[in-house]
Amino acid sequence: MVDMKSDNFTTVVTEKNPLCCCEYLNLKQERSHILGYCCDCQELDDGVERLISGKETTSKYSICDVIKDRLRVPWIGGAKKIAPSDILPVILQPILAFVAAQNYFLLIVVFVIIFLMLFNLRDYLIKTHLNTNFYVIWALTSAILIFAVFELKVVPLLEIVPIENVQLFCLLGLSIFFIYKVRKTCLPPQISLDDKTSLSNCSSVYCRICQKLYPVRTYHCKICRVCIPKMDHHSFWLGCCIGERNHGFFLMSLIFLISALLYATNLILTTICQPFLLFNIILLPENCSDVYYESDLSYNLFLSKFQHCSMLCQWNVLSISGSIVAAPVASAMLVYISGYYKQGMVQLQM
Amino acid sequence: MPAIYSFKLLIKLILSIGAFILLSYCFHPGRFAKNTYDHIDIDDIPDHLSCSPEFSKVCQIEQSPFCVVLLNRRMKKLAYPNRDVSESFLRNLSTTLHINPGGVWKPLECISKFRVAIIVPYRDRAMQLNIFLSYMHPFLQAQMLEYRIVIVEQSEHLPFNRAKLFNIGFVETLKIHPYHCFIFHDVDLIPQNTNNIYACTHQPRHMSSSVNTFRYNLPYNDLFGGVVSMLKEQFEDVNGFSNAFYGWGGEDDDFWNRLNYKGLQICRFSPDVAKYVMLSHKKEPPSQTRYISLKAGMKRFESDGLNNLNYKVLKLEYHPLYTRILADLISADVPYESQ
Repeated sequence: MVDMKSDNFTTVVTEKNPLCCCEYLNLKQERSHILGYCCDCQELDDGVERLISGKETTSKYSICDVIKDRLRVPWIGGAKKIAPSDILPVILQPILAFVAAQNYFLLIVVFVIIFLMLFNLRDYLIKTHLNTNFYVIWALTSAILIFAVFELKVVPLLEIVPIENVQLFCLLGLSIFFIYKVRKTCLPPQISLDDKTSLSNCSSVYCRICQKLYPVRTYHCKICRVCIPKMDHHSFWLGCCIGERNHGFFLMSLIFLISALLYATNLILTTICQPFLLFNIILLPENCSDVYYESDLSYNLFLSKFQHCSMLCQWNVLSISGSIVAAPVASAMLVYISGYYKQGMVQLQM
Repeated sequence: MPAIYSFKLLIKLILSIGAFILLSYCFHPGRFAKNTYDHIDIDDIPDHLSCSPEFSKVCQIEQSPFCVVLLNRRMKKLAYPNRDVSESFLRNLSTTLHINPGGVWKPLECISKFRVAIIVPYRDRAMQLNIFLSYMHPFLQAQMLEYRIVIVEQSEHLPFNRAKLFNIGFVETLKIHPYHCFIFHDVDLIPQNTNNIYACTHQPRHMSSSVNTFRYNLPYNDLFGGVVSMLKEQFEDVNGFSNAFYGWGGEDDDFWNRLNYKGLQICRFSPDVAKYVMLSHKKEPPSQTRYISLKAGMKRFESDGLNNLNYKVLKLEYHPLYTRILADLISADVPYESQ
């Protein structure tokens, strides 16, 4: 049955018959569909057989390879493959936020876990998965999470003024724009300075990996596998190198992102906590102790009303944890800008 | 590849429609609070105040023997309540401030043109009551008002009914003394600006329009809860609050509808003046009852309120700092169906 189906399907992608957004070519270069995720389990059968009989089987690919290959999202011109480490943040972040929303102790635990995880995973990923998008997706997910919580849970409490919404929107928009620019101008232009005539010997360096001459302060990036002029560092959060071309954009994106995150955190916390006015101008959160329990609502509530309220409190805390999830992004960026982490950079010889 | 092109166009169209819907949702003005609204400027406050009937002819005279409405236009620093009030301090307060039994005070050196009763519904919040009393007496004395603080306490059975306690407080206070101005006050709200004069304006006034838990914004224009001031005639005209709201929320929106029904316009002081700090941190979603149509409530406005008030006064005591009314609600009220 399965074989017949694959025979009927034209395995060749022609101009007349291109891939639709849910189709892709699998490991054997056959046309497959996303919906067939759990069908055609040749490799699983072989794996189980090998487990039982202990004999070598004919199949070329392991179960893991097939599972990884089938993990795809619909895309124009064929479904796109995504690495398991890329969807991890999307699943992990809401779960962590939900756990942190339960009580104060769990919030601290989750906060510590996130911090340790993000910084230890980095060293692990440098050794194994150099091209991972884990951090990019993590940053993106937390940005979307904080925005969604703000728009869907905080604004309906009717305490935010329209102008504050616009300001936050602009800050987020500008930071996303500059991150886009940073990524666009990631790699250096292809005109490498290998013609020795233009460079005097004392102001150039030779890269043994690229086998080319470059101006001074150029470094080779192991992850991007290119030489970057005036390289600062490879940013894991943005998934690209920061060098001569995008240094300005990088700084701007940092400034706007940090201010957007701080502003969003302040708006959320002043809404759900007890705020106070500093110097009669700046509204700051004062007392957030009541977010976790509803003992203050000791008036006789109707049951439905009570449930509604406790649901609300849960979501409020989720918004706090959302902002806390986003906070490491900003702090890590601050660490990175100081040039403390220079891993992945190869010093070139003069 | 025309098929691919039209497909890409379709994707673009869907994305742009999605973005448009998202943006118009995010920026829809109905989702937000206000920080500007129609209000009475601080300089116009004396003209808008309504004096007691016996002083109505001399209401505009601002010299001795009458007390002057003191407005400090330069006031910038907000007052915050002292949150740890000791029992001994509270006991001595009535003698140091010369408060008469029942929480009654009037200025000694001049005659106040305003006679105000402050009605506070209460149940089982001793801490907040102490903070409230220790703060409010000096605050009101600084404004040179003749006032009485009435605490209306609900007996133990039945859920808390804030609105009905207001009605009881109104009726019982009128039996003690014919006040002309009533302020319906929550125990957990503390005014931060002394220019917020605790006397009635000609129109019903929403006094707590800028509360710190709402980030000093006004959640919606029809909000008429927290602290409200009204003349006696106006309160009787709208037939008081509804008696049917047990538990939390909705009664203030119903009250707004009653005012609307009778064609009474409300007023507010400017956001700077009407600043309040809330002692409890209760957070509730804005109640949906504000969408109850005027028509649905209209049938009840005439029949539910002051004229069908059913209760029993268990205790009427004159404490040093307040008049205490302990009331037992007799529940014959038909509750509103939950929306």
